[in-house]
Amino acid sequence: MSPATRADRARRRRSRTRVPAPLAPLAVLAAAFVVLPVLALVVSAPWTRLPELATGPTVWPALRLSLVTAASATAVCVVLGVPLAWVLARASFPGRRLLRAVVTVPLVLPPVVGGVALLLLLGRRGLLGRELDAWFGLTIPFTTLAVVIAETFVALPFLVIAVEGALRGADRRFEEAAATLGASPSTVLRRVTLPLIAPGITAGAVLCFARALGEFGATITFAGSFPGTTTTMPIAVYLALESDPDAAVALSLVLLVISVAVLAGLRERWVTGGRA
Amino acid sequence: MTGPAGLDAHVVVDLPVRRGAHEGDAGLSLLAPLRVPRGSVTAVLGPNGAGKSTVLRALAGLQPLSGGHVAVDGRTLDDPATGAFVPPHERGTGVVFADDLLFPHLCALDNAAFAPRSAGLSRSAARERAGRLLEALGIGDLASARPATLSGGQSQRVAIARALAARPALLLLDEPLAALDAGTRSAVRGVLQAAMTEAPEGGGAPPATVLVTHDPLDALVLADRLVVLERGVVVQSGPPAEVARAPRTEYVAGLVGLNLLGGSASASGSGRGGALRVDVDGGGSLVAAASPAADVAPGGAVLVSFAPSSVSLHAGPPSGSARNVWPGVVSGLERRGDVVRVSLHGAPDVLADVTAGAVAEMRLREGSALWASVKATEVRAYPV
Repeated sequence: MSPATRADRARRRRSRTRVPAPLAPLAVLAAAFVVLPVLALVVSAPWTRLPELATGPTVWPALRLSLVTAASATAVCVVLGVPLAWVLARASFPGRRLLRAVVTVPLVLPPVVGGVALLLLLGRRGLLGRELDAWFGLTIPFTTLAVVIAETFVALPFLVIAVEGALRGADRRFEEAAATLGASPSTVLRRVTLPLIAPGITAGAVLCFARALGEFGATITFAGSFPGTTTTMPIAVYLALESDPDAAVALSLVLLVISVAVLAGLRERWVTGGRA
Repeated sequence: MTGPAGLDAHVVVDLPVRRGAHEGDAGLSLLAPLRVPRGSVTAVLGPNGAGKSTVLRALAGLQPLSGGHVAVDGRTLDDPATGAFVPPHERGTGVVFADDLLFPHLCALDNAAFAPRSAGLSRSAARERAGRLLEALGIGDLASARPATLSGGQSQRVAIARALAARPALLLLDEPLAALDAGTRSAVRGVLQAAMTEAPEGGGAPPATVLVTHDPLDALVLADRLVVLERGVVVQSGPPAEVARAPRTEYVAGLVGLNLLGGSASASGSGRGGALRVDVDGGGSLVAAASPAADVAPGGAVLVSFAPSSVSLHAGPPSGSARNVWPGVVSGLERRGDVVRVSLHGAPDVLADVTAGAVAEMRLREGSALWASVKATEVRAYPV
């Protein structure tokens, strides 16, 4: 019997498994917890005004800014995060565990606190910001660059964790084999290691993008809200709630569609990544 | 270039006890001298856990030595005494790993082209060389296949092509034919033999080859020198014919299919025609006449070997001319191809190969009482 048909049979048998009694209602409740709010958003959407609202003058600048900054933050995360993940997974040096703990702090830190921390470092009177201002006349807070920095700050741990896991899971004997065939360490990295962990990098990048797209707390603290330069979609939604709740719902729907699209893309990558 | 062409190594590796290792599994202390000229093949044989693969890893630079040295063509690659260590990618090796370790993201052709690409060849030149090797190994049509779609035998051939494409000075093979079926095995053996002993196209000397295997046939056919490792120590080495004729341990005797008994040369001296009488450890004595036993002093420790097929079994005391005759009891029967291997408990214990017909005729079963006979001319004795 081929493994595929055996797996099929196993799956069919598993699908007949009865759910233990106490689990069923809790599982339904959990699903409702996630589904109902989203459903409320869809149901209460002002469908008749939607075309007008979704194409309103504030929507496109905010959406474009969100996409551009989230994509930029993701790119920065990949460029900086992959080397950091490699160091955490492969190098041995004193303080490695501490470094890993510190790097993952943004995961548990309230984003607003992250924004405050960024202000204290890069603000006009911040530790580094003061010097940047004095030497180069460069002010970062309340610019689009500040948005990218805030998003990178909160998203980076997602990439580092995903890539470090992929590196630890990768079979190092492939790298040894490459070395015995004359590949220098940098050639091994380029031609063997990175291709082997590509699915992990992709998954991490998609998580980064999703996290950056939804970023609110650190962004509004560190970058404020200036339409066109720092007002991203989540901030626009928040502001609209006070003036035009219908517009807030419309903006939320747009963001929802994009999030679902990202999720679908991720699933697609996972499926094909597993087969490649 | 100074020193001899080829491999000159004395592999000393102290491995700590691995975490999660079996209870009582002591750390391995490996000690293996190896000298392999260019164009010749040394097979490293040994039971599982003897340290065979560790020898290859040490030669490839994946396992630093604790002592001794590794040099190829006079160039020192590893010498703990001086601190010299050449990293794996600068050693000019080609390795075929036991579980082929083909790069899963590259097609067969690009796997085989990996080494020449790493050496700086253009993509097209590297692919051309790789393609010719795949062709020679009979898998030219699989060039664009991904490793995941290949069978075990096909993968192993790609792995062989990948190692040969490096045009290595030192070729290291870990069970290179293990995954192949009988038909492809002999074809691939031929390709390997040519690659190991003939100058590669484009000139240069053939590699020095170290072949790790537990298949005695591969070792006997491919190698011109055998090194047998047990528990990290070389227990026997020499040309295959010599090792096959005069095994020194139970393991080697089992590999080459011989009875092996330890004993001492009898003080009562040699019998007729230069034959030697040997008192076997554990009881019994045998007359050995298959070898000149000039260098065996009376009372000196000797090993005695003879083929199971040279042992005849009889229901009663035989009346023939065989000088070695003794009674025994059948302790085991095992089918081996078209013969039955009979384990006989007596003084001494021996293995005998008889036909299925003989088993039926003598109604052999565990516990049957029998007589065994071996001609003295079939028995070899040699100093320990």
